[in-house]
Amino acid sequence: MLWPLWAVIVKELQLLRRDRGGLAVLFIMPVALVLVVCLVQDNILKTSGAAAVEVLVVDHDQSTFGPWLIAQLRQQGDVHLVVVGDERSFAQVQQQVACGDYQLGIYLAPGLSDALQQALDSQVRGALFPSASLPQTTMPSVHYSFDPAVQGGLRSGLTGLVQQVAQRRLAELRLQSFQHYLPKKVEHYVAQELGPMFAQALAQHPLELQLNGDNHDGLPVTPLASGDHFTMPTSIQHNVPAWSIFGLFFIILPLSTVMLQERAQGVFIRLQLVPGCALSLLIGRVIAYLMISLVQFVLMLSFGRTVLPLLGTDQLDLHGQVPGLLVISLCVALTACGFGLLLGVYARSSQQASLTAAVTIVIFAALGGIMIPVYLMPEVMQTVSAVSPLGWGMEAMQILVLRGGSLVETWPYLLRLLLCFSICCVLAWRGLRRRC
Amino acid sequence: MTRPVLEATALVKCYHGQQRPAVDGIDLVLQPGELIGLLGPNGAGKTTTISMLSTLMRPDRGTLCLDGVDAVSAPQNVRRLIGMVPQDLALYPSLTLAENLRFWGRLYGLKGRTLDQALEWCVDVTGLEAFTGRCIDTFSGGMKRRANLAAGIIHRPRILFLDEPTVGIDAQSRHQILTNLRHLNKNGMTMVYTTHYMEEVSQLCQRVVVIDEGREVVSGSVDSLLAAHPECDHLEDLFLKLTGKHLRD
Repeated sequence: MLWPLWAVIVKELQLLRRDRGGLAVLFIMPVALVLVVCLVQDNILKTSGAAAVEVLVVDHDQSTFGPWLIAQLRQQGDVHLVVVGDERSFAQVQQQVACGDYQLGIYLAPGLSDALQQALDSQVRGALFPSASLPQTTMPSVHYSFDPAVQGGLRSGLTGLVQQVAQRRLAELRLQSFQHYLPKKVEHYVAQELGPMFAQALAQHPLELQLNGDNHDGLPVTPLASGDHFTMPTSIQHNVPAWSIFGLFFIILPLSTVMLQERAQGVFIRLQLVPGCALSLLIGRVIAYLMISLVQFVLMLSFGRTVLPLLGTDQLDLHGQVPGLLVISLCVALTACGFGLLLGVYARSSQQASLTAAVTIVIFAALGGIMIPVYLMPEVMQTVSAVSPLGWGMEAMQILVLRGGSLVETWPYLLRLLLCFSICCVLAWRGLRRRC
Repeated sequence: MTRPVLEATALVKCYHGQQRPAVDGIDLVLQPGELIGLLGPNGAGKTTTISMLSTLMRPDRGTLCLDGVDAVSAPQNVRRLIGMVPQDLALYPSLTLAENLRFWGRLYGLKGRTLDQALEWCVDVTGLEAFTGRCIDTFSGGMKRRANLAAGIIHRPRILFLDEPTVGIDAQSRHQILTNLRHLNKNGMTMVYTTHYMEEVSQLCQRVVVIDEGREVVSGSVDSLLAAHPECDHLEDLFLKLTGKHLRD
């Protein structure tokens, strides 16, 4: 049993070594996919907010509001501010943002701070002294414009951020205004209602108010990390594991092609006549292609850790989970081998097998969240995605790489992968036995 | 009397959806070291017969014993005795001849020195000693046929089934293969040989079995058959007389 098994493993590796197309499918294609998708999505993540956002601030006000707004925005770690005070109009800002140079443009019109102060003073005086005749004022606006490519979530977030910062400034200025006018109102009230004696006493001990908003911290809102190494889902953290799984499944192509070529060339006739060969053939093939899959997976992870950062992307962070990832990749590769054996036994031709494999992998990849995360899919598709073996592998890897989980937490997905492999093997074995 | 290497009785095979059996009651007995030619027009049932005799296909009815072992109920037990040289090239074209032969040898459990000796023997028999390091897909048609033969005999089978092993090759290569087969047969290998080339059978086979429409038409040595039909000068005349001149496909 062991010697024929060895024969099959050696033969499969020799065949693959001479199959340039198969090697390209197994090693070059997944690396190229990771490279292209990571670089492309690096830009997409900027528009969706997963990378630092470029914000242009044109400050024609040149007074108190601009510096304050800029200081507040700078406290947001994921915002890269470019502040200019030149002659650019709001229309020009809009145009520049629409070109994609910046994701957000903020325009502070001349006299914004003064107009804001006047409007608030007028509001406060109107509230404290209803009978006073006050000049008509209008609240000035902070103008902003988005890059049309900026997606909904980021757009809402940035709008909220600018509004929050502006409202906070408004509250501060309103408090300052109250601080200024409220003692006057009290003095006026005391003199009018309680008489001159109380007014004199109040003049000797004037009312002092300290309503500075800077001294009052807001309600702290703190995100909770799930584990010690909670990681933001960057392009690299998502794509390298995702496309590695995709690449692992492409092992189906050379595996099924070899089996079908054997049938077409007459090798299978001779194989059928070797006693006890069917089991050696199945197991030997699986072992050979598992070895290749592990090499491919390690290559992909190494690519994410060493080559991609040289091209300006983040570095893949594995959080010391390499053994766990190898176990998951082994389970994914087993499932892929199972599919390959099934196709190799039941497909009628190499063309049929290649087409079926390619279409199935792409559909399962789309369903499994390899191309877009599952949570972004419609509810129905999220339900359907539960049947994708690529999705099971993806979920298991995300538990380790993104959610800070342990290998034990991935067992439901590993179990599904192994169950799928077992079913494929049983069906392939039955088909092979029927022929032998 | 020695025990027959192969003993088939009333073999019947009917394919699904076909009313007439492809093979309908073939009997065949092969003594050790015998070389028989299985002849028949296209669709006569030659391939089905050879598939059943080599345990590739289970007969619907009839018995088959190889070296005294029931090959219908336990084909796995007799397959080690069988060698097959199919009509299609049963080798991996991208591997070298040595890699191919080592693979087939290892599948039969050969290893180490035994495997090396088996490899040397079969490339020597087929005259391919100088080409063991070359990939099969660089071989000429004749060399591929000889390599196919080498892979079929590496485990030294007791019975060798050859399904049109010389189709599509030149006279020199055919001569070489027939010489190889004669040599193997002389050393005790039993063979069942199917071909459409009558002169090959005349030169090579001690006995001829002609089948048509799934049944045996005639059986015997070439000389005895020609003696029984003096109007026929050659085996081909006799074949056409027995199976008719109408086209079969």
